[in-house]
Amino acid sequence: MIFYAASLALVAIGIYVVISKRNLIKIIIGLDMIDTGVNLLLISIGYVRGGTAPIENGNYPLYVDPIPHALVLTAIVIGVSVMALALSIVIGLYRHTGTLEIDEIRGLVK
Amino acid sequence: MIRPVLLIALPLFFAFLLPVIGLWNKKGVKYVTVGVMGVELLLAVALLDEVLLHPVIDKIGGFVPPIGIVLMVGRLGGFLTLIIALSAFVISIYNLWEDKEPIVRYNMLSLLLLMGSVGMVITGDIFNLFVFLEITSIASYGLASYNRDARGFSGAIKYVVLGSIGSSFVLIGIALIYAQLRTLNMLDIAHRIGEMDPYVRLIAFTSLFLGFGVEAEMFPLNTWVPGVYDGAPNAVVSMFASMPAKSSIFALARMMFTVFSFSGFMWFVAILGLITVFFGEMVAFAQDKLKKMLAYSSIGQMGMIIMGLGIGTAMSVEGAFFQMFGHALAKALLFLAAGYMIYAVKSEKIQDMVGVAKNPLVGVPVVIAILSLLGMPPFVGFYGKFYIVLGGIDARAYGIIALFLAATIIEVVYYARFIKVAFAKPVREYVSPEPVVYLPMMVFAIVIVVFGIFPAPIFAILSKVSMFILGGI
Amino acid sequence: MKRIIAITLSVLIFLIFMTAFARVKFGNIALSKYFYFNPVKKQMTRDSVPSHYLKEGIKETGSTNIVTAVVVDYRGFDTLGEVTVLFLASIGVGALMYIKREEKRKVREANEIVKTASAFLFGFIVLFGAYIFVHGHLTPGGGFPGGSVIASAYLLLYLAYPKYAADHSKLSVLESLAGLTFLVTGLLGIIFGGHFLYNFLPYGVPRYLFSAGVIPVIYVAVGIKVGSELTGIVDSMMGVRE
Repeated sequence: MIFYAASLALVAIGIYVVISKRNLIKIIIGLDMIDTGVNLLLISIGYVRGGTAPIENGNYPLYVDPIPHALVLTAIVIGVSVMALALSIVIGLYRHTGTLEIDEIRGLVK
Repeated sequence: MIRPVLLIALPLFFAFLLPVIGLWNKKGVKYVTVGVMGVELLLAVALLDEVLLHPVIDKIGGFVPPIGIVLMVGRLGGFLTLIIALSAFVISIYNLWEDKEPIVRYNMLSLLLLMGSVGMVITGDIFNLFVFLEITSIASYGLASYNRDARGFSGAIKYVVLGSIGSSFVLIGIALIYAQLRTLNMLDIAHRIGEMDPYVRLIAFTSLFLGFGVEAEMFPLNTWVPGVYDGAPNAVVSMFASMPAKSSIFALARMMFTVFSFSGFMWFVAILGLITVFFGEMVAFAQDKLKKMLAYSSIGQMGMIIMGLGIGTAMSVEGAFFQMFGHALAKALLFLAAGYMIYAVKSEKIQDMVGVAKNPLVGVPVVIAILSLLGMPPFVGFYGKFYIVLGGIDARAYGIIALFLAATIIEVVYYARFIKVAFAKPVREYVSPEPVVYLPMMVFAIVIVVFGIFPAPIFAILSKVSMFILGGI
Repeated sequence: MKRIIAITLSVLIFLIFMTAFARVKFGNIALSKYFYFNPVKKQMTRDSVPSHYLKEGIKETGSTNIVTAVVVDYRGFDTLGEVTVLFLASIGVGALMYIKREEKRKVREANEIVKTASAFLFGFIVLFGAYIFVHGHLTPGGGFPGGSVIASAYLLLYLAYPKYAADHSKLSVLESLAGLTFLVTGLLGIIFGGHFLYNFLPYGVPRYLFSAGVIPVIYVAVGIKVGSELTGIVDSMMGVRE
């Protein structure tokens, strides 16, 4: 249960960072925290007490659920791609406006 | 016997091949894209043809459904795939007008946007739906900032932040469903949905709903729409109005009807749809820039579709799908026209566009599109609004229908304002539109008129809507 | 004011989801008890999807690593989508970082230790990355971690020799060809097996390198693709340097 609470706490902190921070890089770090929290959540759903990694080895009788591992593999890669794109947009924005604060950017773009 | 997989494999194959083609002939990739999207349109027609006889299920990898992934296409899915493929093909012809540097990547992103939207409609597995949602979203993030100026980037970063949070919510919803049912196939979940704890089921649905609602331009998650529609290139905005938004609303419909098997009147969804309509129409009324006005009007129309889905009767869902059809065509046409008008007048404000639509090559399609959006009788949009209203009266939701009709009056006012300016006597000579500009607009206009006068084929396709509502494919 | 809204919203989200997850069991689950419904034959089965994968995984796919079997064979379509997503990121970054005039940046050289060590380690890191994705069906890992390790070797070169630039057009061709290999393997599945991504190569003996049919082929393609893609992204973001 503590795993669920910790992952959801990561998601909640990430949402707090995205809403309340003004610097674009901090907002993107918040996005990354949300992604990480959700991935941790998915992995902890698949845990079976006493199970081992789902690779056939003939010794252990009990394995962990392999599906969340597959889902998280995909979700991590998708998170990386979104981060890469977000960061390149921020780089482009910095090149054009010279600042990373969202208030100043909103004023300049109006 | 057509395999739905080909509809996804074809754009992907050419998207991978385009850099190699681009090394050899950079300007030629535009024509390759038009060709590929044309073939995709033919495949979509063939798929619709087959789907009208029986639902098509394609097992990927040869594995039986919950063990492997399936693609499930029903009548509504086939219809929407056709709309998406048609819009993509026609807009790709418009793309031959101006080159967007760098060319090869623009075409790759458009092909992958098409692939993602079609994938979201035809898949039968919720995690696969999430993957296709991400493909669509990331292609949109890339395309939205394609102008590479400060306005485009600032619109795009808001879109990225909101879209990313939305996807995380979708993933949490999937996690909740998987934790209790240990399966990812839509029909399997639908059959066993009773095994879930009711509170967990409610939270999972809300999470999925909010997640898909970001892409579907629902209030209060649609703050990204004006910035993106303003800052992105015009052909891209046409694509956004027809492809990702419609697929996301179909994903919402899948969630509501196929997976969670809700039926009947859903207050939450209908009220949110109504608020979206009001928000869209009222803010559109106050806009003086053309693209922003059209963007807020789009939000209003999306709200209408969501409201139609929320009312939940067969008639209102039929109306919602009609509205999807009409809105995709009309809005894509209007954004293409807006691209031409802004180019001709060299300004973005409506009051500067005096007489720009007097040229009948532009004016006739624009008038047809606007009348269809407003819901006038001989055009497709009429059936959309009419059936949503009929469905609402059938479900005895009189208050919602009354408020909805009040919002449409606001819509009439601001479109009339635009028509008055655009069709007045021109103050100077405007440059004439080229064929690649007015031909796509005419194609859309012809389709709107033809299916407005003869809606019977569309009604035949949508005739099994009640089965879809009760949990079918 | 914004901070108060942010705090209330995040605490609210935490509480709502926590109460939902409190009703989800953790750890003490019997995987075989979640029976699934077969929508094609329309009947309930007395087995669950995860335990089917664990029991029949080796027989049906030939790979001993069940996660690889799920990722590449049972749910290979999701992996194709994921490869597309990474491809989209690389195209997007390349398109957004595209500037017409050549704007060179002055960069500083790294110190001797970094330069010598990275030149020495580059080969080993690439070898390790290749080992990870070639053995994807036997040991933990697979295409994505292997490709990332290879990209990290290139990143080390970028850090040590700031004027070094990988050849972007060659990387992009390599990435396209690797992606096409994956897609064509899937399409060949239609020709040889009747379904997209059907595992049509012979399965061999489990626990050997040459086993599991199409899975090593796909993972090698994915590993090369991911490596070249991430290197391309890093290269685009560094801009033009002199």
